[in-house]
Amino acid sequence: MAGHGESATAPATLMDRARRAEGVGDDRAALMELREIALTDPSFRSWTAASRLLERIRTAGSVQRPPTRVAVIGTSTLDPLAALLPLAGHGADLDLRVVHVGGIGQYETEALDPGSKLYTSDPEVIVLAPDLRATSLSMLPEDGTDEVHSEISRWTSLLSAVRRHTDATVLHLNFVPPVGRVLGALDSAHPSGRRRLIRDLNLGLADALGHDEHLVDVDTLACEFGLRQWHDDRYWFHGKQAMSPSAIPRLAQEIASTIRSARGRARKCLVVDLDNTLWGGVVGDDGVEGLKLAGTAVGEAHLALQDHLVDLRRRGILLAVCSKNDDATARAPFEQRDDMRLRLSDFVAFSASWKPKPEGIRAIADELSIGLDSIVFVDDNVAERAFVRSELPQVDVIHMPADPSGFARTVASYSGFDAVTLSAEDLVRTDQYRARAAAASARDDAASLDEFLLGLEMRCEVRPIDSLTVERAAQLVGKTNQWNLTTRRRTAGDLAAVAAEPSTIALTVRLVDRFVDHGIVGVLIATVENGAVDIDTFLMSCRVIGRSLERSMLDDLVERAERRGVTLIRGQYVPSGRNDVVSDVFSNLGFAPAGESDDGSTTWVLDTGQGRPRPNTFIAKQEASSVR
Amino acid sequence: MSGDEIRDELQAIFRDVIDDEVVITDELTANDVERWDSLAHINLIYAIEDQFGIEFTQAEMADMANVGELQRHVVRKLAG
Repeated sequence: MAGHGESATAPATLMDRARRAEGVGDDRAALMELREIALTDPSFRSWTAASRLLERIRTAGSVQRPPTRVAVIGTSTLDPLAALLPLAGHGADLDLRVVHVGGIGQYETEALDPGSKLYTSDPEVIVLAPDLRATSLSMLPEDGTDEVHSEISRWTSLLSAVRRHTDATVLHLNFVPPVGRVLGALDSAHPSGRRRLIRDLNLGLADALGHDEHLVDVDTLACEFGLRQWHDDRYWFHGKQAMSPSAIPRLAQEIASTIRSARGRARKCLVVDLDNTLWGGVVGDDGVEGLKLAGTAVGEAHLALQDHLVDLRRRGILLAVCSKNDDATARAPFEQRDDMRLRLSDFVAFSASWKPKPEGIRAIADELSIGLDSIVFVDDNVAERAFVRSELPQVDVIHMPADPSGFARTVASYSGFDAVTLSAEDLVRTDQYRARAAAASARDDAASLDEFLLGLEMRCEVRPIDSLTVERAAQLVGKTNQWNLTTRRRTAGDLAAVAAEPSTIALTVRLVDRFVDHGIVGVLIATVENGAVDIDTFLMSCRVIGRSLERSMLDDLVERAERRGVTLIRGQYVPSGRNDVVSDVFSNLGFAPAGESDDGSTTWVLDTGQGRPRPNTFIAKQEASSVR
Repeated sequence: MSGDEIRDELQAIFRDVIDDEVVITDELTANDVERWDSLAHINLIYAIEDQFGIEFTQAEMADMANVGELQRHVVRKLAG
């Protein structure tokens, strides 16, 4: 996120404001200022000051997010990096707690010894940060391939050791080449050239990563930062620090955003302004023909941003428009200018009106049934950005530069959309949301809800959580907030382990209707013990709420339970503040209330021995093979 | 840049990098401030270099026994 500082407020002012807010006991305001520093001011000095203030506020108990325990081990001095990770986490909506920092030269022993502090500190995320200086790639070895392979197997066998001893999420940093070349261009051209070997080592490492093991691409990060700035050998000679302090905030941001993605918390939707953002000029004043697009330098800069948004859309990010304009005026350039790269069909929502933008963004979130914390906002106007930031703090507002030539690069540097995996669902998501909008208007026409549901000609396919479905199931478990009865987060690794238990029933469900294939949209996990089934997790993507899919999922669970001779099913609703929509689900499914606890959780039971629930007639059940 | 201006800037850097409460004097050494350990010292040097646009040699990095000496190094570097 480096490189798009908001020019309106100087960094020193942010830190002063944070200190002042904390001084008068307004920790919430202080946390918002600290978040701005984390996102917009990657200077080492600001980060050092901000990190200490964050620590103080956290000790006072004012940070509300669930904590994530992180351990970092490597082959260089990592304390400076570890000290800045919580601030980076704060910028990525995570509460990172560093529970262990490995000592220099301890990498192997800590990874291999199951009793080491690495494991006894019980981290949920382990960051493996070896440095190139710990590798032994010799100068022009006789057989470079051989040497690279032995290095790859050295680091990946340590990775496997870590995997054997813990089911924590693992992040692995790759290797950064040094400044300077021994052989000039031959370092890259010769099969055994140094630079080429490093590249091969990084590729081999990336290919070796398995389930819930994620690459932190420091190689690319350092290249973008500038290798000469990244490395400062004085710090290596002085304190075995592998990089310049100036680079540490940027690396901390990258690690935090990888953790956020690994936890399935990446953002989903980009809301963009039109005038002077997607094109040069104001369409209401300059007219469609007067807008700057192809053929002018300024117009090319706006088109570069459009090109980037097209790429985001292709990889599954939802695009929406929020513009202060009359609707017809706002749509005209898309319909009349051939040189526009974005078409109206690229957007899942189009809000053009004279209402304040926070209202427009809220309406878009409602229309798409996504949370505000899934939204990212892009606008050239600094006042609109400040307004949205203060009214809707859950929305990520990208700090755009004043000059449009930096727009595309600034949005491309934003890391909140980063995925750790790409599923087939990601690549067709816009079609699904557009089809849902079409289905929603079909609902207006249908005389009754029953007719509407029947008219959708829905089919579903239930599959266990297995190697084919676990990544998608983890995405859903990680980010579903609304239609989620217990909101229990698990990583792909945890899910695979739970699903492998013989006492577990762990299911995914895929929904297809006459408009679109929604992909896997539901997860149900239950344990069978002592003659009863306990529903542990029951959730559904909000894009299929109201389709009666929960009944099909329950039908399937009932069948599986009865095959095991069990008829008693227990469910629990745990309020999270965001899942009101499911408070009546069990009651609607025919469960009887069986208790309420102090935190508002309710327990429900259904005895299918006393009569099975009516099977769902709106959704036909298909065998796995026939839909796929 | 006057001596007072440099001193004010150093005070602000110490506050950011070492401790919010620290008040610097010529005689102040790392032994007097709990948080001023070897790691914090490296951070301090870097922040000073970054702020004043100067670069210390390795020998200078090690030879800064108190704040007064540190400031003399900065003044000399700024004078070129």
